[in-house]
Amino acid sequence: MRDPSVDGALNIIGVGGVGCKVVEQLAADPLSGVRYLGIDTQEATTHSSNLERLVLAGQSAGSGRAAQIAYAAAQRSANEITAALEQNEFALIIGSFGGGTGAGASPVVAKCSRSDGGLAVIIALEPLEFEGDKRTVASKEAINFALSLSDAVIRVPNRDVSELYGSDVSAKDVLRRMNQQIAGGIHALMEIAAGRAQMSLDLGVLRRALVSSGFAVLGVGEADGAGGLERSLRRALSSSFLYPEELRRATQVLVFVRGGEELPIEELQAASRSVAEFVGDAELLVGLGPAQEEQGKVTVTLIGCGVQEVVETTVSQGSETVQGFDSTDLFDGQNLEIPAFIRRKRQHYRA
Amino acid sequence: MHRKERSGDKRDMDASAPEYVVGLDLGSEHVRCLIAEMGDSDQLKIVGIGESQTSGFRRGEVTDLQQGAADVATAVRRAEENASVEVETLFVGVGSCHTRGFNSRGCIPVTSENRLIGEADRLKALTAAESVFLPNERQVISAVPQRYCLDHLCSVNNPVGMTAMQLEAEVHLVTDTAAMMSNLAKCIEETDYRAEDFVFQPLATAREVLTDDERELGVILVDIGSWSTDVAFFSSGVPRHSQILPVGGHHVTNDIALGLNISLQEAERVKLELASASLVGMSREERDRTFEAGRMDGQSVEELSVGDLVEIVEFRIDDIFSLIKRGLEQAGMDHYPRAGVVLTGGTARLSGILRKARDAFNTPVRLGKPQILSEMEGVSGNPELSAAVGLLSEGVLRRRKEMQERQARGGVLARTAEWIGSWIRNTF
Repeated sequence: MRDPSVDGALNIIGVGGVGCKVVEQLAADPLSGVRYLGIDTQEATTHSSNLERLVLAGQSAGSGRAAQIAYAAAQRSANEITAALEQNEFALIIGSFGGGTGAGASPVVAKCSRSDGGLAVIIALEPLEFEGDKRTVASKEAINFALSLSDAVIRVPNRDVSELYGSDVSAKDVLRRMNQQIAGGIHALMEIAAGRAQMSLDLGVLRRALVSSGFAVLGVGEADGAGGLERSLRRALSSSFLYPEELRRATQVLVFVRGGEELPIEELQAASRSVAEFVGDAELLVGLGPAQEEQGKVTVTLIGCGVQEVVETTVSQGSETVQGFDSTDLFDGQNLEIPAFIRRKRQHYRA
Repeated sequence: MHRKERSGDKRDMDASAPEYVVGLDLGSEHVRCLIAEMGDSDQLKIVGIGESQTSGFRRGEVTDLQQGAADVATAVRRAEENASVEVETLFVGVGSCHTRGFNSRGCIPVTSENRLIGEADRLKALTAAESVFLPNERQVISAVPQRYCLDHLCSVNNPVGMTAMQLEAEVHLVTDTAAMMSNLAKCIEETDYRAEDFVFQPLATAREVLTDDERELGVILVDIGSWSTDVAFFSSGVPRHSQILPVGGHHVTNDIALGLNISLQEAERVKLELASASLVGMSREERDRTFEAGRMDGQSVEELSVGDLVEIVEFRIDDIFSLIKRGLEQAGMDHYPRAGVVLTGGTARLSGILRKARDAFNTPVRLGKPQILSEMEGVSGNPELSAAVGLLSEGVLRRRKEMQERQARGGVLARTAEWIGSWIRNTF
């Protein structure tokens, strides 16, 4: 399975039920030189697929969506995971961050992937917007944790889905199309890593762009026919994985284009100009992928790396111990609820 | 909630029927509602007054939505019964302790031909002045234009029709938490009534209580309520500083109860009957005079001296005044000339407080009362009603302005349509 041009292994790892399912679909149309691996705590799903599997220690009956249990299980299986990755060079870890195995075990898998000096990028599937605030908050926490153990995290926001595909599309269809786009992004990353991109993109560039870079964003667009490149670029810029604002905040943007043999250079120049316009100060790296089999079809993948975080004011959740009076009573540094004569006397004694 | 049948908007029904304005003052202890008749002259005539005890509001914020709505409904209904009229819309006073008042300026180039400033330019400059960066959770609740500057000529009251290269507007902006505003709006929605507009309370009170001369020469308005104190500083006719302090008459009562070990009810009583804001000028006999007040246990009686009582009150009043002074200092207003201080609100009736204020601020001090004349008992000259009456006069002003704007917009055509509409409604 090894690609001779790459020293280590290229891995695509699905973690948890959702992650495994995505990788399973990817493995159905495998890229050469890439290993596909599924990691899960649940035996039930392990049996059903043809994917190479690794079952985490303990909790064989499934972790019941508890990220902490999955995290502990993955920690116990850390050696097995490292061994299974076979001197990882570049690992793409896909997991759902809704609060289950994906959220708990993915960070550990990332840590193992980096233990031999490899690159680990997590694709974090955020819970869908309609799944509720509680899961959104949990996923934010999990993603921040994952960020500390991996090189980069690509968030798949899973929002505005209806806006993107039209309101009359069935939920199943939406999920299918999103999976397709995720697959497109993963393929692009792997093609680059496997050294099949021309111009300025290769594994070295990928490594420099992604190593310990924090958040990254992914945008995928596809179109065919005349002006296909421009249209697919527009789709990539507006695709659901991309907070366009985040792309603007990226320090480096990789543009990976796969088109037919006859893709004119002018179109490519125009496309990279419009990306440059969109992203502003970011460094632009353009790569041309191998020609597609389908005539006239053009795919554009945008990878924004090193997204600068905007400082958000966080609202603390849950309860906290409040000592004494609440803050509204503290005015100008003094507690006005305390009788004035007592405060004055205190000041007097202090003086 | 019970909703009563409404007979439609009377204002549209019959042109000859009197028009009413309603002011709603949301205090921490009382909700007060005043209904006034808008005559042809500028003089308002108060026709109804309603009051209810409340536990739904504290310092201008809703603490209990249902209770607050019920208290508002009670106060307005009482005023309606008192006036024997039905009303629909209220001018609601707003402002909490999270209120921040500050001055802002905005500048625009005048782009029209001949550099002539139009009404649109004036509004644009005001918008620029109001466009300050605010965190998400805050919103502007009041914006009062102060003056305009044309190029470098400042102190222009109305720039429309003048010429300049650039126009600058100065505005006194007041912001508060968006949550306070939305909860208050929700609370009013829960009742049968509708908020016609929300009015920043300190500036509304100032409109009623202060004279033009005072505003021009510089004046501090201090409205001491039960749980909070509204402060507004005017100079050259416009507001320059506004603040709401989280202390008020309730704190005086509280201090008395704690300091003398008597019940809150008794503390309130002795505050009204015996207390004074200053020991200065009291003879030894007066200080040593004793009185009796019930203890917190509700059974035994404590014998206390007036001197002790006044000392406790004096500390708190001192405290309030020094907070006001500090607020003015922090806003950079301490160097502005001031002709005086006007005290209003229930606590302004405390004996000796005017003298105390005179010493504290070193300026003449007077008691601020609503200027309105009314035959109704307990309205004229009652400082407790300053806030509510202030809402009425601000309300009248806003309504007149809106009517003028509507007329200016609609012109003759709209007025004709309105007339035909009302004729049809009246005839059929």
